[in-house]
Amino acid sequence: MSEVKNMSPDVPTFWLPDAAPQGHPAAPVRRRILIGKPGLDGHDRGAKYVAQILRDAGHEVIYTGIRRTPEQIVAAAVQEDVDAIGLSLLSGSHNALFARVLELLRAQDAEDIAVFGGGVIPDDDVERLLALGVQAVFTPGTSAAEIVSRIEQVLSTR
Amino acid sequence: MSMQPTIPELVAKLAASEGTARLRPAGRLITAMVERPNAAATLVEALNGRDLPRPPLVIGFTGAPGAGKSTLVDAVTARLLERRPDLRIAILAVDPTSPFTGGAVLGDRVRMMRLALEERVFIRSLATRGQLGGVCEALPGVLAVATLWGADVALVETVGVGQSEIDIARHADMSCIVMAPGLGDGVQWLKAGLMEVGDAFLVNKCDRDGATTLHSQLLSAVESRQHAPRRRLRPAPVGMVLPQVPPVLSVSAELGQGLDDLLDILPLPAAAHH
Ligand SMILES: Nc1nc2c(ncn2[C@@H]2O[C@H](COP(=O)(O)OP(=O)(O)OP(=O)(O)O)[C@@H](O)[C@H]2O)c(=O)[nH]1
Ligand SMILES: [Mg+2]
Repeated sequence: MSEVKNMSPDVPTFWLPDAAPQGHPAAPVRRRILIGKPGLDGHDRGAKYVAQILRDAGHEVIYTGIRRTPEQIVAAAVQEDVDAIGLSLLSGSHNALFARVLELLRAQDAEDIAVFGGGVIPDDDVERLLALGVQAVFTPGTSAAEIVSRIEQVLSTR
Repeated sequence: MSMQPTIPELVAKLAASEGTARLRPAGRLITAMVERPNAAATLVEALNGRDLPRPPLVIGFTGAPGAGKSTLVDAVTARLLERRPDLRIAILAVDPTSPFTGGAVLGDRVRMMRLALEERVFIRSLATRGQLGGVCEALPGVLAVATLWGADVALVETVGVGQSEIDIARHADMSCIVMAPGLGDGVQWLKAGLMEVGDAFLVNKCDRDGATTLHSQLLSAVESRQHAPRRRLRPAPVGMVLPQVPPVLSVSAELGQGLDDLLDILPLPAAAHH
């Protein structure tokens, strides 16, 4: 990615969006994305971080907070009519949780809502989740730009 | 890219669905109201009507960032569900869009998760998308969809506002100004704007220090205005009587205190309309 240039001499550089210098200027299509954190542990640093980078890339993020059940997440996703659901997980129960979310989406006639995952998830489980229908799984170390562009790319084909 | 259903198709789908199956078409219709050009006119046409439908009662909750609007909307809704098992409630919560990126984090729902599975509640988060008055441009269309879903009451939470963002009074039948100790002093209440459009003033966080002082400051500000003309930005609905002097109530959204007094001053519909 080439460096973002300040095209207008009237606009001081510090007024430009934060996201621009990192390489993802305002997104071409604004998406609505629900970010939630199922499971019992109370850490939502990862979820909040992803919410922020998606916001800075120009998307609307519906943040639902911690300890959500699959039922609550899907009910919210349908009322909010999101394009995607991103679930951050730290505990080991990801297989069952993602399977339940996908099942509930199908029951709501909402299987076109894309599901993404993030967290400390072993490689074997990543394969299993992708086979279930999860669109992508972001493990620690995935860069902000990678997360945003992967989500945008998946959504652009739906 | 899959084909988007048209607005008349979504209206028909909603009308033909029952129970939780209504959530999907209602959610998609709201998106259409927000995203598509001329959506409101198309909806009116699809309904063979003259105007956009509105829920029988629309109540606005506005006030400074962090005053406790979302927590209060959650608490009021939970209490209303108990008191009126016949009513359906739509919550429309607006948060700001970044003027730099166009993005937003819509976080009001975090305070309302206990309502997520209530069949009589529909919650939608909305972004201002450049609108400066505290709500969003598509609000009338969104209220119309809430009506089609079956809402008897809509609770609209504005963005955290300053003194001059009073657009909520153009949309709500009753505007509640939510305040909390620690966010301003008596001089603020002399200024123009919010004070003039409030139909009720709610001192939230009454469990905190400073709430009693705030309550009495507000009360004297409101009483000193009682001979000034009441400002309304939309006509009061037929049959709805609002008190001459706007009530000032102390509540604690977090502890559930004062909620019954608050419910008592809401001009709730006598019976559900659906
Ligand atoms: N002590 C106390 N804290 C409260 C009460 N109501 C809300 N809070 C807290 O105040 C903070 C802000 O509450 P919100 O409901 O998010 O406030 P808001 O007005 O919706 O905020 P914005 O939407 O960002 O403008 C949260 O930490 C709440 O837990 C209350 O009655 N008492
Ligand atoms: Mg709020």
